[in-house]
Amino acid sequence: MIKIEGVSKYYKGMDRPAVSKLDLEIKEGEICVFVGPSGCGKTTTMKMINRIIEPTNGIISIDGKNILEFDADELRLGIGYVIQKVGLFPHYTVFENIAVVPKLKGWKEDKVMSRVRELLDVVDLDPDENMYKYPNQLSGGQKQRVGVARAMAANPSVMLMDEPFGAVDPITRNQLQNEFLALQKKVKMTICFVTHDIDEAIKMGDKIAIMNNGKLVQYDTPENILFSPINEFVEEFVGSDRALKVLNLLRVSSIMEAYMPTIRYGSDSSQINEFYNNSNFAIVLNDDNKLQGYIDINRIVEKKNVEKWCDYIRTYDICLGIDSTLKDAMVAMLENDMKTIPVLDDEKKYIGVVNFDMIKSHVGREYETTIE
Amino acid sequence: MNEIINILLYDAPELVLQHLIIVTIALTSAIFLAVPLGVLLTREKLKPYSNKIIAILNTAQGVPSLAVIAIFLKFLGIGYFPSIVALCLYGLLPIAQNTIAGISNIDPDILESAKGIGLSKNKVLIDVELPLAFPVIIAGIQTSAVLIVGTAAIAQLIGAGGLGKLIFTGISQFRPELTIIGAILSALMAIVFDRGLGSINKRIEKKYK
Ligand SMILES: Nc1ncnc2c1ncn2[C@@H]1O[C@H](COP(=O)(O)OP(=O)(O)OP(=O)(O)O)[C@@H](O)[C@H]1O
Ligand SMILES: [Mg+2]
Repeated sequence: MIKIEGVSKYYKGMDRPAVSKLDLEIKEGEICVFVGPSGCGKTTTMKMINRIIEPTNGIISIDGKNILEFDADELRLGIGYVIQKVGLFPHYTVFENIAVVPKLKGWKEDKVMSRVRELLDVVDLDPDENMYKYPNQLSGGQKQRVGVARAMAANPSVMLMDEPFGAVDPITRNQLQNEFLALQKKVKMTICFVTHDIDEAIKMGDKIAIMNNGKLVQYDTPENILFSPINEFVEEFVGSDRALKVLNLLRVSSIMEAYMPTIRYGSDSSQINEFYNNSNFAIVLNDDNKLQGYIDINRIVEKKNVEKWCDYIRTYDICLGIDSTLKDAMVAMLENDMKTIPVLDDEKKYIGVVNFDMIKSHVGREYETTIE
Repeated sequence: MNEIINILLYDAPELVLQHLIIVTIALTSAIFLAVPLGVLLTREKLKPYSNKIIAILNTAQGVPSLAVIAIFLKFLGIGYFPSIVALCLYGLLPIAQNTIAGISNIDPDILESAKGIGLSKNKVLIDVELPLAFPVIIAGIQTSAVLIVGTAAIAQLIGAGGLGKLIFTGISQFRPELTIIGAILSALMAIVFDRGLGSINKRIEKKYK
């Protein structure tokens, strides 16, 4: 838990404080995203947590202990730190970069080695291929991944991330965000995440702290930020396309349904006739619930070839994971011209479908309940 | 012709060795003084003064080598030791300057992340700043080495010995061949120092540049 109490920062030569009387608490295991216009004090706030910058007034504590009671280097060793420019050491290999903190903490060599391999796997980089490369041999996205791995190397419980995915292209960014969220689901760090992109804030944050001119304007869940903005500034900052932003917030797992009939591949045709009156389509599954495709029941019945229904299976070009957002689902629908898309779990087993109407009614409902 | 061969065979080796020793001692002491000086001038507390101090050293460097030798004659007398002191001081500036430049030009993001992940100030200096500034420092040492090799010849005027002896004997005895041999050998030595040090940098460049 990170607690910030009455913290202000005055830089020399500035007539107003960069951060002004900030009060806020980040709960254990939560991602708090600081967002706001350029110069509003996000980075300053974050850097005060690991004492890169000392506050002028106020107290910051981690797990109930004032950070001034720690030795500054000791404190930083326990806090993961990722910045936009990554700042990998160019004269160290990927392995050496990630191993810095574990080595400082006195880990044994074989433990360091296995940890580095594990981390590279976690951030989706092949250890054998990348471990002995130098940073200049990596792409921007790969550098970011190594940066995240380096920050997590010694299992910090607190992580500070300043626009960590800011310098990569939108596709890589989306990928890094998803990977990081999946990772965070497992390790549950307490994270302070800075961005100036409200979409990223909505997607990544358990809580969002909107700042302006060094002051905290609203500190709330993404839902409340979207639907109950506290004032005009927040409303404007969130933008007029709130309904679209909400798509980024909701996951397909919360709306998908298993309403379509399913049929096992190779089973006999009596089921098809049963479906005929209730549904136009059916999902075809393997014995271990893996998705085979779908069938158009009307068409099969029309062709009077019900016995050989397996010849009429069509495959899906695209599927969604349960962690996909409704935005991902919409994009997939629009790009592939499909009304219904199947959802698979982490083991690629079929669990349900989402369709356009479900999204529409769900977003509408969300709007109504939270606006009241 | 015979005479030249004689000089090369009998006089030159000893003088080359002498020259080499003077240069090596002066250069090594210059490195051990200038690198820490440069590092000090990049520490937070002294940073504001580093420009001024470098400006002063720059001016000092503008004093012709002959004058430097003359000044040292006054304070330390003549001989081997004063020559080395003079040469060492003369070689300080390029190394100090490059140490400062090498360290100040490191990408601030690298230093911030080094500090951010928990490296102490000393660790940052030893594991990050110095290794990254190393190629620039080596370049400074190259400049300094060439400077010292050349100036060492003049230091013969206060009794340094070495190739300067050959050159100045040539001048005073109207034997230009001696002067030319001394000058060529001295130039060769400068080239060897320059190339040798440069090869260190080439190896680093291959590694991670
Ligand atoms: N070292 C410094 N010295 C003086 N002023 C500073 C310093 N660092 C930041 N500031 C000022 O403090 C204010 C807040 O800066 P900060 O870097 O925290 O903003 P930010 O919200 O992170 O902005 P951005 O989105 O552009 O990164 C700005 O007005 C900035 O000019
Ligand atoms: Mg910033």
